[in-house]
Amino acid sequence: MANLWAFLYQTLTLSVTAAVLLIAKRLFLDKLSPRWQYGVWAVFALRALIPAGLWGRVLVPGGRTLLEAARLAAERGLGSALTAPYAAVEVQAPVPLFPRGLPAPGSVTDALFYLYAAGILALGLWFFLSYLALRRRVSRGKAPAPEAVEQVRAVAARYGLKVPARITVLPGLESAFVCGPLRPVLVLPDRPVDDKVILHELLHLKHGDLWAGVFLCALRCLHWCNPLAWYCCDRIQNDCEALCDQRALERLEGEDRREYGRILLDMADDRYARAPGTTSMANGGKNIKARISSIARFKRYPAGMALASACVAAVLAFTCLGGVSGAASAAVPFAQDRGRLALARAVINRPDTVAGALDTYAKALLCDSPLYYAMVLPEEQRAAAWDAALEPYEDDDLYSSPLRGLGYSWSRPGWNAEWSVMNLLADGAGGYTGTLFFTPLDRDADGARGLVLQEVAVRPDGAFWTVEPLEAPRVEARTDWWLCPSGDMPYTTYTGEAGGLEVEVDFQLRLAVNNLVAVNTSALFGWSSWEDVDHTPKPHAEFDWMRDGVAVRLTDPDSGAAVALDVDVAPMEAGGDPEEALAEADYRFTVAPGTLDEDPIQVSSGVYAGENMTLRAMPEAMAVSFAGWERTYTCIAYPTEVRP
Amino acid sequence: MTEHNALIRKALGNIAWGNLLILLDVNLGRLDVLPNWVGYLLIFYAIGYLADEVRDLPLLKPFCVLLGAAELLDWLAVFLAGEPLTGQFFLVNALIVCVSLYFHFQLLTDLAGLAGRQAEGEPLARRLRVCRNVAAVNRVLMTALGYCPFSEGTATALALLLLLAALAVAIVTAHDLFALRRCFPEAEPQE
Repeated sequence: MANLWAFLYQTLTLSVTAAVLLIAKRLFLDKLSPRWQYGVWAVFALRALIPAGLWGRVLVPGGRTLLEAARLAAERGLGSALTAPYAAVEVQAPVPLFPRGLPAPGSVTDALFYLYAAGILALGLWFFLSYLALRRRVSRGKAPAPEAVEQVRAVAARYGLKVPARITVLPGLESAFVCGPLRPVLVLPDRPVDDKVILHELLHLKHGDLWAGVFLCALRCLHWCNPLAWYCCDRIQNDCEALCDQRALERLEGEDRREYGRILLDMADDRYARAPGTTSMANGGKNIKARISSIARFKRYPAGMALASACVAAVLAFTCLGGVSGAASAAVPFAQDRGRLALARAVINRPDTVAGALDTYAKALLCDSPLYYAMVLPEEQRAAAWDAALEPYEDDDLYSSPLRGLGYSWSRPGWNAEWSVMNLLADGAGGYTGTLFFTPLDRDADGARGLVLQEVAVRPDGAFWTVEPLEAPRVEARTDWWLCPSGDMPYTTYTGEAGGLEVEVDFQLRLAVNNLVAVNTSALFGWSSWEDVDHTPKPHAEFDWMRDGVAVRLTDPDSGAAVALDVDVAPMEAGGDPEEALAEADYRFTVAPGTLDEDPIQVSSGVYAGENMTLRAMPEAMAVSFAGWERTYTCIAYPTEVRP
Repeated sequence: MTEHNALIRKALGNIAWGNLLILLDVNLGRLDVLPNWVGYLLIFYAIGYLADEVRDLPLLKPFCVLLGAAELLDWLAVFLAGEPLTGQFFLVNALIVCVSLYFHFQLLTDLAGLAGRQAEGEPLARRLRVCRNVAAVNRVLMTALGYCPFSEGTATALALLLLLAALAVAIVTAHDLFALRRCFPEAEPQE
């Protein structure tokens, strides 16, 4: 949690989980045992530890969009030092973090976040000092009488429990309690204590309930300004006591059980002095009344329900921890949408794949949508897109599209064009560069064919990808729209050496996301369906369409003469084993020497489509092999020239 | 025919038919013509009849009302708007799944207990308990499937497998519930 919005996101998610669990516990109050009632709080504890929105899962569909919209409304123009203005709310850890140090607060939200962090420290300190004061008081306690020690030993021996390392007596104490998770001390009042009270406290020790208390203190600190979280912590402590009652009752028989209930009743008027790092059988009148009701139900819980208890808890855990896909609950907005909610949905759906980023950018360009630009442009270029996305939509927005200014267009709506990327090469800094193509296009004046192309850089931005245009879109007139394989379209030449020959491999790769969708005019019959181009970005898509082209040349470096031998080529990682790559590669080509402009059937292995494509960028290297002069030569060819 | 047996037979008949109504979905368009809420209504009456016979069964009455009401709401929503309502609210739906899971589990537990008390009813009781367990685990696995990072093909195959298991368990359960009714004969056996 690096800013106020991240904390709000985390604590609201925890609150929703708390509400679900409280409803479930109310529903199953008289049906599932105290073990379940206490155990199900593990879901709450885990929710508190898991960052909200992890893996894009949310608990309340639409809730994240509202939070983002609220952030947009509050943060625009505030100049917060802790909140990035153009990035979505992200919870990196369930505790406050200050990745940029402690800058001076630039806004009221920064100040509130500092106040929140200070509150954690103050409350944590208060808990710690209270605990220290109690330990000091305990350390000044009297040594117990030998009969008291003997009584504790006897109870422990009777029920197979461990005797605490230290027992002490505090005069004026109302009830026994256990203190200190690391070196537990059993603290007794200076009057006779019933065996059952000692049994209760020893059971707390056995089951490590003191550690649960420590965890609850941490939770109270982290969510100190969330009353529902505090209420749940109180309920957890009481459920812990109720479970301890049940464990004690399971060990007691007949009259002892009734006596146990009477002891609890006697404690109902006692004051509850909550102290961190302790457990006490007397935890306040209201709580004790709830525990007595639980004891009254002890024998009435339906038997044989262990599996049902586990199954119900599992469903609650999957639901509250897994949530639903945030992308599904906050769909990508339409190009014409405007306003804070639409912008919030755009921010939530930032692309997290290279293909998704290119698809989003291509559609931003095609639809001239500031929302789509806001999703994909680098942060420094996002401000203008955000401003435009908050302005009302005007129908002539499309006429200002950068593509229309080129004199080429296609019939409205503008998005009926398809995009693809070629020469998607790693830039050495974790990103890629490539050339985007838009087809088909007709020249407005005479309908002549053309295509638009633009060099772009795709760069990682945390968990997301951005696209930065490296040039303005330019148009190229063509007699056809054939892009691959083609010698006048971008490709990369890889070179290597084997058997004394120079090897050159021209590799061309055209990648795209399949954007065709079937459109039906009738729900009953498919005969009236056709395919249209989906104009909504797919920010999480992978490439699922590919066409390649390979041309190879073998040259004798001394004479400069070409050598005519068939060559095997396969993409591989730099530094890998070429023979292994040729044997195991998903894409392997056997070609005769030539250029990319020769018969497409000779130099291309055709179109690949589907989800299982493994080639998602230009390969780092090519494994090359050819047979000649009674032996086989193998080498690695590395990229040396990017063309044109 | 003893009055006692007649009442139990009637209750078990209600439960068996109620269960069948819940299992079977015969749709006219999107509307279920064998509504599930009628099934819960039948079971609700049956719980009343069996209250003296099975101690824990009345605990299920509020759940029966809740599930029946949710089904009625969904049925009306489909009738009026073409879409079920509770499915729109993910967390409400999860709570309904929990209640339904518990309801059917305890119902079968109690009925297995009833079967076990009859002469030669033990195999039937055992089968009902097995069906109960498999159905509960199957339901959790169905829920878990939505959270597992399987490919679409694997997830579909697993879902189909779970669906087949659910279908098999439903058929055996339906058969056993009618068989349980036969454990309480209309006439006293001839000496």
